[in-house]
Amino acid sequence: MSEFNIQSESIDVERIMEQIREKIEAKHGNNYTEEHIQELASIKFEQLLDLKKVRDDLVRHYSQHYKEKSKELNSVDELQKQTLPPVTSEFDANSIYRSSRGVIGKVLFVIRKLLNPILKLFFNPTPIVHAVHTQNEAINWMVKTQIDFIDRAIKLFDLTSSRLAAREKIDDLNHEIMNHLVIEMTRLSIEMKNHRLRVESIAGRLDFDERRIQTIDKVTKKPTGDASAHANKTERGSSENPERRKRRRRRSRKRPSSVGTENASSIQSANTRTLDTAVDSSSVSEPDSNSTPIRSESKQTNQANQPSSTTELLPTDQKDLKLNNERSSDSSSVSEPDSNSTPIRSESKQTNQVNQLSSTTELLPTDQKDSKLNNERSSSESQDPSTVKTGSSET
Amino acid sequence: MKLAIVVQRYGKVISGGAELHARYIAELLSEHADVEVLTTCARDYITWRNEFPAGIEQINGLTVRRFPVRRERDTKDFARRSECVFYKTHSLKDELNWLNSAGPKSPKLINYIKLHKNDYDYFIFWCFRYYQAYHGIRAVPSKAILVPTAERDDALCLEIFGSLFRGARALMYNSFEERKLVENVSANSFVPSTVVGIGSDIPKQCSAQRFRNRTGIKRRFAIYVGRIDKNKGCVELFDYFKKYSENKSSDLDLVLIGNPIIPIPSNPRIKHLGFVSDEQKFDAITAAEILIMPSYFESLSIVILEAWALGIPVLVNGQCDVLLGQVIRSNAGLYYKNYEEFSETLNTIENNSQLRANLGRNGRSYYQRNYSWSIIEHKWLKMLKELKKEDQTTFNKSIEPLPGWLNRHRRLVKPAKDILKSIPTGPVHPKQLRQQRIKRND
Repeated sequence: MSEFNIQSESIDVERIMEQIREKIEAKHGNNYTEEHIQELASIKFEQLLDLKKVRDDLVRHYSQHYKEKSKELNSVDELQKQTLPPVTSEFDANSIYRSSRGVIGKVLFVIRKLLNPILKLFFNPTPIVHAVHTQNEAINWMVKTQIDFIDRAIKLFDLTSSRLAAREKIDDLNHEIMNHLVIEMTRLSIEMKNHRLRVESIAGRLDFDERRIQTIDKVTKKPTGDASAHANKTERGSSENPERRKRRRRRSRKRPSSVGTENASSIQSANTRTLDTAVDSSSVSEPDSNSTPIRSESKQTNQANQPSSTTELLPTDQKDLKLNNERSSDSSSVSEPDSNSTPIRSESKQTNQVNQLSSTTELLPTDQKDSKLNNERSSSESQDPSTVKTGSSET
Repeated sequence: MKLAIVVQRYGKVISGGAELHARYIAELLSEHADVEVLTTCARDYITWRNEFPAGIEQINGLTVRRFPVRRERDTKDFARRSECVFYKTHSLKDELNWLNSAGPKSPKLINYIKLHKNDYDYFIFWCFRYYQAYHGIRAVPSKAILVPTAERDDALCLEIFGSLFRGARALMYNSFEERKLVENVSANSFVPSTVVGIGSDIPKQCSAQRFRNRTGIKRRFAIYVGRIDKNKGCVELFDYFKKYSENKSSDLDLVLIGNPIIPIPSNPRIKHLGFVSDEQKFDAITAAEILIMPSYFESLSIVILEAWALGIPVLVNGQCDVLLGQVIRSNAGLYYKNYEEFSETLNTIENNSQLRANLGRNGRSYYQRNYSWSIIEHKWLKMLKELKKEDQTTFNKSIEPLPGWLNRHRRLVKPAKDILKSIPTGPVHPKQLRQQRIKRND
């Protein structure tokens, strides 16, 4: 397993075993084994009984139930096994003279009968015979009654035992069902707990995500205003401090020329950039002849935004004019994504210059306009594009 | 130097652990001393029936003297007497009767030892629990070296054996856990002793491919080697492995080697190869990813040592102190005490080839450090030398005499089971070993 950091030479088996045990324990935290659930269920079962106050000794009752039943059944069996008392033989007046010795017994019986009068000289056996006879009859009656009673009792026991057996089965089933219910309840409660924890963790994550989104929104909104302000500042700064501008230009010229040879795809991607980022980049980048197409475009896009700030100070008609011009310059510069970087830049710049010129010449008389336009066009052809750009930025 | 190896059974065909151990040591020491083997004619350890002829025999160049067993073991009588001494309060006489019943009762062997005690320098006895060891040591205590091969079982706690452990001249244990156990039972730490164990004849060229070609087993597998018996923990192993193969996404099979005493479950992932030759056994171990030893009672598992010698890691039952101690000291395997641990440890070893390789390497080095034949030979010779030195200073050791007739018959001895329960368990950690060494040196 990859979780063990095993060094090649030193393996500590006990440490590995500790890690394994920790892993098992961690597993147990989420997934209870059947044994654990049974154990928990047994605890819950007792708690349940206690809570409901069904019967405190119900569990004990269930466990002892079978034993008691079996004891009862055994007692019935024992009763059946008991031998019945021997029924006493018939007793009559001649019983005291009889003998069980066959032929000799009959002779003895006759002799005893003959000697009966002599016996009566000593005592009278008749009341004794009568008493014994009565007693015998009473015993016979009692035995018969008892046998009858035992028969009935056995039948009753049979009936009761069969009922008890049926009842016991039902009890067992009840117990089993109750046990299963408690087990399921325990399992469900564990699952519920796990789900609750999961829901809590998801809610926490959701909350965190929302806050994150809000923070990102705030962060993304703020730079837009800052950037425009910064752009204004740089414009102002450039007009105020030409030396600083020069330094910046020099620095920016150091940027690699390879950037300038980027293909059209980079331009396309640049086109797709959002306005905010364009503003951002324009605020940072200085106007430069060697700047990348992306930068030039972003600048142009920026120009589309800039009017709102720069035209604030102009009269309404001038504002409209300037906005129109700048929009047209925007559309002309952005709508050439397929051409190479350098031509695009020059063309867009030229268009830009034309627009800018037109915008500046709007306020002049017609003849002056024409002459100025001509002059400026010729100068723009001969001038470095950077100077034009600077001029445009100044305007 | 003349030595006598006294063991209950002896022969090439006898593959019991202690008997094999005795044969290996006898053959090892025969290079340095004149060695004779004194044994019985019995072959079967349950009945002790006389199956070998009595008299002198030569086995691998060693003289073997066989003595007849007077009577076979009556298993019912033995069970009854075991019940008496293990579970009830009993007398010393009961224990002696139990020993007679356990056998192999061979008074002729004991008489021979008594008569020829001056012919031998030392008598090396195997297995404390048998008749020949008890009466033999009592006959020649000052020359008796005992290899107890004791496990954590009830017989160890019988009172008659306490005097035996204290009265022997020296003890050669198989493991540190065995020594700890015997010392706890009999308080015999003053008796010279050492932990030696046993090596194994590992072939120089074992081939996993040869095994796979022969058996057609192409998948990865864990192996168990030994008697397939409930006492060896095999039932538990089958249950655990079935569960493991069902629950875990594992492609590991279980291969079993050995005679089955219990039925082997029909499972496509469990394969039984039966009893195989030594060459096949070593090839199989080499081909295995891991060797599993599920036994609860072992005094020293030779199979584990063989696996380590071949660089194969092991997974052992952590309930067995000896196995647990061996694994902890060697850092060459993992252990389990329940299914969860079995599953996780097996999964860990199965899926981590680096761990497997490192454990195997540790095992090999542990075997070479402790159980190679040269080390074992050295330990034995050292012990014999030390005893010889003591003898030169007119050393004469006696053993505690048996109590008188009345005391022998008094029922005052506690059941062995109760005594065993009170003895502490657990493996011997390397730290404890260091402490023990310091104490002994002191």
